[in-house]
Amino acid sequence: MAASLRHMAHFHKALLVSRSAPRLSTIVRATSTLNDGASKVPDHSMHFKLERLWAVGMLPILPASYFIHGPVMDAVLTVALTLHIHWGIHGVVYDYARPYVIGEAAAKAAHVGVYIITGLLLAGLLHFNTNDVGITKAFELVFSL
Amino acid sequence: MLARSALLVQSAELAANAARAASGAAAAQPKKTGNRIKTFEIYRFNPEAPGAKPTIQKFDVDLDQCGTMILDALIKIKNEVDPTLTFRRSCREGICGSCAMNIGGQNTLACICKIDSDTSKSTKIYPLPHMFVVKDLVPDMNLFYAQYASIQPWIQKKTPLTLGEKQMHQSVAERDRLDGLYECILCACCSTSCPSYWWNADKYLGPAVLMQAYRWVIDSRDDYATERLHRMHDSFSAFKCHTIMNCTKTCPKHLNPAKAIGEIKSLLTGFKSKPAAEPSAF
Repeated sequence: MAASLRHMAHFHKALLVSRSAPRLSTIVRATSTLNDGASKVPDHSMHFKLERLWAVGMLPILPASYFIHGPVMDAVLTVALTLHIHWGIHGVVYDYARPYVIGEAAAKAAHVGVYIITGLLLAGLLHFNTNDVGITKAFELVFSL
Repeated sequence: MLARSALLVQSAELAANAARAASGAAAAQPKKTGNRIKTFEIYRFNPEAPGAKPTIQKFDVDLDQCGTMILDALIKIKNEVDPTLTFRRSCREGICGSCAMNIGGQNTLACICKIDSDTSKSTKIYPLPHMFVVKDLVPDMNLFYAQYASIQPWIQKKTPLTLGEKQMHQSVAERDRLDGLYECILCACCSTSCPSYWWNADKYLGPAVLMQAYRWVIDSRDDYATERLHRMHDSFSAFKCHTIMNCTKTCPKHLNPAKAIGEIKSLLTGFKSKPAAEPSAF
Protein backbone atom coordinates (compact mmCIF):
# COMPACT_ATOMS: atom_id res chain seq x y z
CA MET A 1 0.00 0.00 0.00
CA ALA A 2 2.86 2.32 0.91
CA ALA A 3 4.52 1.57 -2.37
CA SER A 4 1.42 2.39 -4.31
CA LEU A 5 1.02 5.63 -2.33
CA ARG A 6 4.58 6.58 -3.18
CA HIS A 7 3.85 5.86 -6.82
CA MET A 8 0.76 8.02 -6.59
CA ALA A 9 2.80 10.92 -5.22
CA HIS A 10 5.42 10.43 -7.91
CA PHE A 11 2.77 10.44 -10.58
CA HIS A 12 1.13 13.52 -9.15
CA LYS A 13 4.42 15.38 -9.12
CA ALA A 14 5.13 14.47 -12.72
CA LEU A 15 1.68 15.68 -13.65
CA LEU A 16 2.27 19.03 -11.94
CA VAL A 17 5.64 19.49 -13.62
CA SER A 18 4.20 18.74 -17.00
CA ARG A 19 1.38 21.23 -16.38
CA SER A 20 3.60 24.06 -15.17
CA ALA A 21 6.28 23.62 -17.83
CA PRO A 22 5.55 25.24 -21.19
CA ARG A 23 3.97 22.73 -23.48
CA LEU A 24 5.96 23.61 -26.57
CA SER A 25 9.40 23.67 -25.02
CA THR A 26 10.66 20.79 -27.10
CA ILE A 27 14.32 21.14 -28.00
CA VAL A 28 14.80 20.60 -31.71
CA ARG A 29 18.09 18.88 -32.33
CA ALA A 30 20.43 20.83 -34.58
CA THR A 31 22.03 17.70 -35.96
CA SER A 32 21.17 17.26 -39.60
CA THR A 33 20.19 14.08 -41.33
CA LEU A 34 21.70 15.53 -44.46
CA ASN A 35 25.19 14.17 -43.90
CA ASP A 36 24.15 10.79 -45.23
CA GLY A 37 27.05 10.29 -47.61
CA ALA A 38 24.92 11.15 -50.62
CA SER A 39 26.93 14.34 -51.08
CA LYS A 40 29.94 12.20 -51.96
CA VAL A 41 28.48 11.40 -55.40
CA PRO A 42 30.55 12.78 -58.31
CA ASP A 43 29.92 16.45 -58.97
CA HIS A 44 28.55 16.97 -62.48
CA SER A 45 27.96 20.70 -62.18
CA MET A 46 31.34 21.77 -63.61
CA HIS A 47 30.86 19.46 -66.60
CA PHE A 48 27.35 20.82 -67.14
CA LYS A 49 28.61 24.40 -66.99
CA LEU A 50 31.43 23.65 -69.44
CA GLU A 51 28.96 22.07 -71.88
CA ARG A 52 26.74 25.19 -71.83
CA LEU A 53 29.70 27.59 -72.13
CA TRP A 54 31.02 25.53 -75.03
CA ALA A 55 27.66 25.76 -76.80
CA VAL A 56 27.48 29.52 -76.18
CA GLY A 57 31.06 29.88 -77.44
CA MET A 58 30.07 28.14 -80.68
CA LEU A 59 27.39 30.76 -81.37
CA PRO A 60 29.85 33.36 -82.76
CA ILE A 61 32.13 30.72 -84.34
CA LEU A 62 29.51 29.29 -86.70
CA PRO A 63 28.53 32.57 -88.42
CA ALA A 64 32.18 33.66 -88.34
CA SER A 65 33.17 30.52 -90.26
CA TYR A 66 30.88 31.68 -93.06
CA PHE A 67 33.17 34.66 -93.68
CA ILE A 68 36.58 33.51 -92.44
CA HIS A 69 38.03 30.55 -94.28
CA GLY A 70 41.32 28.81 -93.77
CA PRO A 71 43.16 26.11 -91.84
CA VAL A 72 42.79 27.91 -88.47
CA MET A 73 39.02 28.14 -88.76
CA ASP A 74 38.97 24.50 -89.94
CA ALA A 75 40.83 23.41 -86.80
CA VAL A 76 38.62 25.52 -84.50
CA LEU A 77 35.46 24.13 -86.08
CA THR A 78 36.77 20.56 -85.90
CA VAL A 79 37.47 20.75 -82.18
CA ALA A 80 34.30 22.68 -81.35
CA LEU A 81 32.00 20.42 -83.32
CA THR A 82 33.62 17.16 -82.19
CA LEU A 83 33.27 17.91 -78.51
CA HIS A 84 29.77 19.37 -78.89
CA ILE A 85 28.58 16.35 -80.87
CA HIS A 86 30.29 13.97 -78.44
CA TRP A 87 28.39 15.39 -75.47
CA GLY A 88 25.14 15.42 -77.45
CA ILE A 89 25.43 11.78 -78.57
CA HIS A 90 26.57 10.81 -75.07
CA GLY A 91 23.37 12.29 -73.62
CA VAL A 92 21.18 10.53 -76.18
CA VAL A 93 22.88 7.15 -75.61
CA TYR A 94 22.60 7.47 -71.83
CA ASP A 95 18.89 8.23 -72.22
CA TYR A 96 17.99 5.46 -74.63
CA ALA A 97 20.59 2.69 -74.35
CA ARG A 98 19.73 1.72 -70.80
CA PRO A 99 20.72 -1.67 -69.33
CA TYR A 100 17.12 -2.07 -68.12
CA VAL A 101 15.90 -1.97 -71.73
CA ILE A 102 18.62 -3.46 -73.96
CA GLY A 103 20.64 -5.50 -71.48
CA GLU A 104 23.86 -4.92 -69.59
CA ALA A 105 26.27 -5.93 -72.40
CA ALA A 106 24.53 -3.99 -75.17
CA ALA A 107 24.34 -0.89 -72.96
CA LYS A 108 28.07 -1.13 -72.24
CA ALA A 109 28.77 -1.56 -75.96
CA ALA A 110 26.64 1.48 -76.76
CA HIS A 111 28.54 3.57 -74.22
CA VAL A 112 31.87 2.47 -75.73
CA GLY A 113 30.36 3.17 -79.16
CA VAL A 114 29.98 6.84 -78.26
CA TYR A 115 33.75 7.18 -77.92
CA ILE A 116 34.30 5.22 -81.16
CA ILE A 117 31.93 7.57 -83.01
CA THR A 118 33.70 10.60 -81.55
CA GLY A 119 37.11 9.18 -82.44
CA LEU A 120 36.02 8.46 -86.02
CA LEU A 121 34.50 11.93 -86.33
CA LEU A 122 37.65 13.63 -85.10
CA ALA A 123 39.93 11.49 -87.28
CA GLY A 124 37.69 12.01 -90.30
CA LEU A 125 37.52 15.78 -89.91
CA LEU A 126 41.29 16.08 -89.31
CA HIS A 127 41.95 13.88 -92.34
CA PHE A 128 39.60 16.02 -94.43
CA ASN A 129 41.32 19.21 -93.23
CA THR A 130 44.87 18.02 -93.95
CA ASN A 131 44.44 15.89 -97.07
CA ASP A 132 41.48 17.59 -98.71
CA VAL A 133 40.06 21.12 -99.01
CA GLY A 134 39.00 21.51 -95.36
CA ILE A 135 35.57 22.15 -93.86
CA THR A 136 35.18 25.87 -94.61
CA LYS A 137 36.40 25.49 -98.21
CA ALA A 138 34.06 22.51 -98.67
CA PHE A 139 31.04 24.59 -97.64
CA GLU A 140 32.25 27.39 -99.90
CA LEU A 141 32.21 24.92 -102.79
CA VAL A 142 28.75 23.66 -101.83
CA PHE A 143 27.33 27.19 -101.66
CA SER A 144 28.89 28.09 -105.04
CA LEU A 145 26.91 25.35 -106.81
CA MET B 1 -33.73 7.44 -36.53
CA LEU B 2 -33.33 9.69 -39.54
CA ALA B 3 -29.89 8.22 -40.15
CA ARG B 4 -31.29 4.72 -40.00
CA SER B 5 -34.06 5.46 -42.48
CA ALA B 6 -31.52 7.06 -44.80
CA LEU B 7 -29.51 3.88 -44.52
CA LEU B 8 -32.62 1.87 -45.38
CA VAL B 9 -33.26 3.97 -48.47
CA GLN B 10 -29.64 3.51 -49.46
CA SER B 11 -29.77 -0.26 -49.08
CA ALA B 12 -33.02 -0.37 -51.08
CA GLU B 13 -31.27 1.55 -53.81
CA LEU B 14 -28.32 -0.82 -53.63
CA ALA B 15 -30.64 -3.80 -54.02
CA ALA B 16 -32.28 -2.16 -57.03
CA ASN B 17 -28.87 -1.45 -58.52
CA ALA B 18 -27.80 -5.04 -57.99
CA ALA B 19 -30.98 -6.26 -59.68
CA ARG B 20 -30.37 -3.92 -62.59
CA ALA B 21 -26.78 -5.10 -62.85
CA ALA B 22 -27.88 -8.75 -62.81
CA SER B 23 -30.46 -8.22 -65.55
CA GLY B 24 -28.05 -6.05 -67.52
CA ALA B 25 -25.32 -8.66 -67.39
CA ALA B 26 -27.10 -10.88 -69.91
CA ALA B 27 -27.90 -8.09 -72.40
CA ALA B 28 -24.50 -6.42 -71.77
CA GLN B 29 -24.63 -2.66 -71.59
CA PRO B 30 -27.88 -1.41 -73.16
CA LYS B 31 -27.22 1.08 -75.95
CA LYS B 32 -28.20 4.47 -74.62
CA THR B 33 -30.18 6.87 -76.75
CA GLY B 34 -30.23 10.61 -76.21
CA ASN B 35 -28.96 13.84 -77.62
CA ARG B 36 -25.68 14.05 -75.74
CA ILE B 37 -24.29 10.54 -75.44
CA LYS B 38 -20.54 10.72 -74.93
CA THR B 39 -18.26 7.73 -75.34
CA PHE B 40 -15.37 7.28 -72.91
CA GLU B 41 -12.60 4.85 -73.80
CA ILE B 42 -11.06 3.80 -70.53
CA TYR B 43 -7.90 1.78 -69.90
CA ARG B 44 -8.73 -1.37 -67.96
CA PHE B 45 -6.26 -3.73 -66.33
CA ASN B 46 -7.10 -6.28 -63.70
CA PRO B 47 -3.96 -7.92 -62.27
CA GLU B 48 -6.05 -10.48 -60.39
CA ALA B 49 -7.17 -12.20 -63.58
CA PRO B 50 -4.40 -14.66 -64.54
CA GLY B 51 -2.53 -13.67 -67.72
CA ALA B 52 -4.46 -10.41 -67.90
CA LYS B 53 -3.55 -7.88 -70.56
CA PRO B 54 -4.58 -4.22 -70.51
CA THR B 55 -7.66 -3.48 -72.60
CA ILE B 56 -9.66 -0.42 -73.60
CA GLN B 57 -13.30 -0.50 -72.58
CA LYS B 58 -15.92 1.85 -74.00
CA PHE B 59 -18.61 3.41 -71.84
CA ASP B 60 -21.49 5.58 -73.05
CA VAL B 61 -22.57 8.34 -70.69
CA ASP B 62 -25.54 10.67 -71.16
CA LEU B 63 -24.06 14.09 -70.49
CA ASP B 64 -27.50 15.45 -69.56
CA GLN B 65 -27.52 13.03 -66.64
CA CYS B 66 -23.92 13.68 -65.61
CA GLY B 67 -21.82 16.39 -63.96
CA THR B 68 -19.47 18.56 -65.97
CA MET B 69 -16.13 17.04 -65.03
CA ILE B 70 -14.40 13.83 -66.11
CA LEU B 71 -14.46 12.62 -62.51
CA ASP B 72 -18.28 12.96 -62.48
CA ALA B 73 -18.43 10.68 -65.52
CA LEU B 74 -16.05 8.17 -63.92
CA ILE B 75 -18.08 8.08 -60.71
CA LYS B 76 -21.29 7.75 -62.72
CA ILE B 77 -19.84 4.81 -64.66
CA LYS B 78 -18.66 3.18 -61.43
CA ASN B 79 -22.01 3.70 -59.72
CA GLU B 80 -24.32 2.75 -62.55
CA VAL B 81 -22.47 0.63 -65.09
CA ASP B 82 -19.37 -1.12 -63.82
CA PRO B 83 -18.53 -1.08 -60.09
CA THR B 84 -15.18 -2.76 -60.82
CA LEU B 85 -13.82 0.39 -62.53
CA THR B 86 -10.99 1.45 -60.25
CA PHE B 87 -9.54 4.94 -59.81
CA ARG B 88 -8.32 7.19 -57.01
CA ARG B 89 -10.30 10.25 -56.03
CA SER B 90 -10.86 12.23 -52.90
CA CYS B 91 -11.48 15.97 -52.75
CA ARG B 92 -13.19 16.45 -56.16
CA GLU B 93 -11.90 20.05 -56.29
CA GLY B 94 -8.28 19.85 -57.43
CA ILE B 95 -6.52 20.11 -54.11
CA CYS B 96 -5.68 16.52 -53.14
CA GLY B 97 -4.07 15.32 -56.37
CA SER B 98 -5.52 11.81 -56.12
CA CYS B 99 -7.33 11.67 -59.47
CA ALA B 100 -4.31 12.48 -61.65
CA MET B 101 -4.64 10.57 -64.93
CA ASN B 102 -4.05 10.93 -68.64
CA ILE B 103 -7.20 12.36 -70.25
CA GLY B 104 -7.22 12.91 -74.00
CA GLY B 105 -3.44 12.63 -74.09
CA GLN B 106 -2.83 15.20 -71.35
CA ASN B 107 -1.94 14.48 -67.75
CA THR B 108 -4.40 16.30 -65.54
CA LEU B 109 -6.76 15.95 -62.60
CA ALA B 110 -10.05 14.28 -63.56
CA CYS B 111 -11.92 16.46 -61.08
CA ILE B 112 -11.00 19.78 -62.68
CA CYS B 113 -10.96 18.57 -66.30
CA LYS B 114 -14.16 19.42 -68.14
CA ILE B 115 -15.78 16.76 -70.31
CA ASP B 116 -15.37 17.68 -73.97
CA SER B 117 -19.03 18.17 -74.99
CA ASP B 118 -18.29 17.24 -78.61
CA THR B 119 -20.06 13.87 -78.60
CA SER B 120 -18.83 12.93 -82.09
CA LYS B 121 -15.43 12.20 -80.57
CA SER B 122 -14.73 9.84 -77.71
CA THR B 123 -12.52 10.79 -74.76
CA LYS B 124 -9.65 8.43 -73.96
CA ILE B 125 -8.68 8.00 -70.32
CA TYR B 126 -5.43 6.27 -69.34
CA PRO B 127 -3.46 6.03 -66.10
CA LEU B 128 -0.44 8.32 -65.66
CA PRO B 129 2.05 7.39 -68.41
CA HIS B 130 5.04 5.14 -67.82
CA MET B 131 4.03 4.15 -64.32
CA PHE B 132 3.44 0.61 -63.10
CA VAL B 133 -0.29 0.07 -62.97
CA VAL B 134 -1.84 -1.38 -59.83
CA LYS B 135 -5.31 -1.63 -61.36
CA ASP B 136 -7.21 0.24 -64.10
CA LEU B 137 -6.40 3.94 -63.56
CA VAL B 138 -4.42 3.46 -60.34
CA PRO B 139 -0.64 3.84 -60.79
CA ASP B 140 2.00 2.68 -58.30
CA MET B 141 3.29 5.87 -56.64
CA ASN B 142 5.86 4.24 -54.34
CA LEU B 143 8.96 5.37 -56.23
CA PHE B 144 7.59 8.90 -56.52
CA TYR B 145 6.99 9.11 -52.78
CA ALA B 146 10.38 7.58 -51.98
CA GLN B 147 12.04 10.22 -54.16
CA TYR B 148 10.06 12.93 -52.38
CA ALA B 149 11.25 11.58 -49.02
CA SER B 150 14.84 11.49 -50.31
CA ILE B 151 14.99 15.29 -50.63
CA GLN B 152 14.11 15.57 -46.92
CA PRO B 153 11.19 17.97 -47.26
CA TRP B 154 11.32 19.65 -43.88
CA ILE B 155 13.11 22.62 -42.29
CA GLN B 156 16.57 21.86 -40.91
CA LYS B 157 18.42 24.29 -38.65
CA LYS B 158 22.08 24.50 -37.69
CA THR B 159 21.36 26.23 -34.38
CA PRO B 160 19.24 24.49 -31.78
CA LEU B 161 15.88 26.14 -31.34
CA THR B 162 13.12 25.72 -28.83
CA LEU B 163 9.74 25.42 -30.41
CA GLY B 164 7.30 27.98 -29.05
CA GLU B 165 10.02 30.34 -27.81
CA LYS B 166 10.02 32.71 -30.78
CA GLN B 167 8.84 32.54 -34.34
CA MET B 168 11.13 31.60 -37.19
CA HIS B 169 11.23 35.01 -38.79
CA GLN B 170 10.77 35.41 -42.50
CA SER B 171 10.40 38.72 -44.31
CA VAL B 172 7.61 39.32 -46.82
CA ALA B 173 10.13 39.15 -49.68
CA GLU B 174 11.54 35.87 -48.38
CA ARG B 175 8.05 34.41 -48.07
CA ASP B 176 7.25 35.58 -51.61
CA ARG B 177 10.03 33.36 -52.91
CA LEU B 178 8.04 30.28 -51.90
CA ASP B 179 4.99 31.30 -53.92
CA GLY B 180 4.50 29.08 -56.93
CA LEU B 181 6.46 26.31 -55.18
CA TYR B 182 4.55 25.40 -52.04
CA GLU B 183 1.21 25.08 -53.89
CA CYS B 184 2.31 21.79 -55.47
CA ILE B 185 -0.07 18.97 -54.53
CA LEU B 186 2.28 16.16 -55.65
CA CYS B 187 -0.20 14.71 -58.13
CA ALA B 188 2.77 13.58 -60.31
CA CYS B 189 1.19 14.90 -63.52
CA CYS B 190 4.43 16.73 -64.36
CA SER B 191 6.89 13.97 -63.50
CA THR B 192 4.95 11.39 -65.50
CA SER B 193 4.76 13.70 -68.52
CA CYS B 194 8.54 14.08 -68.60
CA PRO B 195 10.39 11.85 -71.13
CA SER B 196 13.55 12.14 -69.05
CA TYR B 197 11.61 10.75 -66.08
CA TRP B 198 10.15 8.00 -68.29
CA TRP B 199 13.63 6.85 -69.32
CA ASN B 200 15.54 7.39 -66.07
CA ALA B 201 13.01 7.42 -63.23
CA ASP B 202 15.40 5.36 -61.10
CA LYS B 203 18.09 8.05 -61.10
CA TYR B 204 16.42 11.29 -62.20
CA LEU B 205 14.26 12.89 -59.51
CA GLY B 206 11.65 14.34 -61.87
CA PRO B 207 10.09 17.81 -61.97
CA ALA B 208 7.67 17.51 -59.04
CA VAL B 209 10.33 16.34 -56.59
CA LEU B 210 12.93 18.78 -57.92
CA MET B 211 10.53 21.69 -57.49
CA GLN B 212 10.00 20.66 -53.87
CA ALA B 213 13.76 20.27 -53.44
CA TYR B 214 14.12 23.87 -54.67
CA ARG B 215 11.34 24.96 -52.32
CA TRP B 216 13.43 23.78 -49.35
CA VAL B 217 16.73 24.99 -50.77
CA ILE B 218 15.44 28.53 -51.22
CA ASP B 219 13.54 28.72 -47.91
CA SER B 220 15.26 31.47 -45.88
CA ARG B 221 14.63 29.57 -42.64
CA ASP B 222 16.52 26.46 -43.78
CA ASP B 223 20.25 26.27 -43.06
CA TYR B 224 21.23 23.30 -45.21
CA ALA B 225 20.92 24.63 -48.78
CA THR B 226 24.48 23.59 -49.67
CA GLU B 227 24.04 20.05 -48.42
CA ARG B 228 20.67 19.77 -50.14
CA LEU B 229 22.23 20.89 -53.42
CA HIS B 230 25.23 18.60 -53.03
CA ARG B 231 22.95 15.61 -52.78
CA MET B 232 21.69 16.20 -56.31
CA HIS B 233 24.78 17.42 -58.12
CA ASP B 234 25.41 14.10 -59.89
CA SER B 235 24.75 13.78 -63.61
CA PHE B 236 21.25 12.35 -63.20
CA SER B 237 19.31 13.68 -60.17
CA ALA B 238 18.78 17.20 -61.53
CA PHE B 239 20.97 17.50 -64.62
CA LYS B 240 18.97 14.89 -66.58
CA CYS B 241 16.37 17.60 -67.12
CA HIS B 242 16.53 18.39 -70.86
CA THR B 243 14.25 21.45 -70.60
CA ILE B 244 11.49 19.69 -72.53
CA MET B 245 8.92 21.80 -70.62
CA ASN B 246 6.17 19.14 -70.60
CA CYS B 247 6.02 19.59 -66.83
CA THR B 248 5.03 23.24 -66.99
CA LYS B 249 2.63 22.62 -69.87
CA THR B 250 0.74 19.86 -68.09
CA CYS B 251 0.65 21.14 -64.48
CA PRO B 252 -3.02 21.24 -63.42
CA LYS B 253 -2.16 23.83 -60.77
CA HIS B 254 -0.44 26.07 -63.37
CA LEU B 255 2.89 25.98 -61.54
CA ASN B 256 6.28 26.09 -63.28
CA PRO B 257 8.50 23.14 -62.30
CA ALA B 258 10.80 23.76 -65.30
CA LYS B 259 11.72 27.18 -63.90
CA ALA B 260 12.45 25.68 -60.48
CA ILE B 261 14.77 23.11 -62.09
CA GLY B 262 16.46 25.92 -64.01
CA GLU B 263 17.03 27.70 -60.69
CA ILE B 264 18.49 24.51 -59.21
CA LYS B 265 20.89 24.24 -62.15
CA SER B 266 21.87 27.90 -61.67
CA LEU B 267 22.55 27.25 -57.98
CA LEU B 268 24.50 24.05 -58.73
CA THR B 269 26.69 25.67 -61.37
CA GLY B 270 27.28 28.78 -59.29
CA PHE B 271 25.53 31.23 -61.62
CA LYS B 272 23.28 32.13 -58.72
CA SER B 273 23.50 31.70 -54.96
CA LYS B 274 20.92 31.54 -52.23
CA PRO B 275 20.35 35.01 -50.74
CA ALA B 276 21.40 35.32 -47.10
CA ALA B 277 18.52 35.28 -44.65
CA GLU B 278 17.39 38.72 -43.56
CA PRO B 279 18.05 39.29 -39.84
CA SER B 280 15.06 38.96 -37.59
CA ALA B 281 13.58 42.24 -36.35
CA PHE B 282 12.70 40.70 -33.00
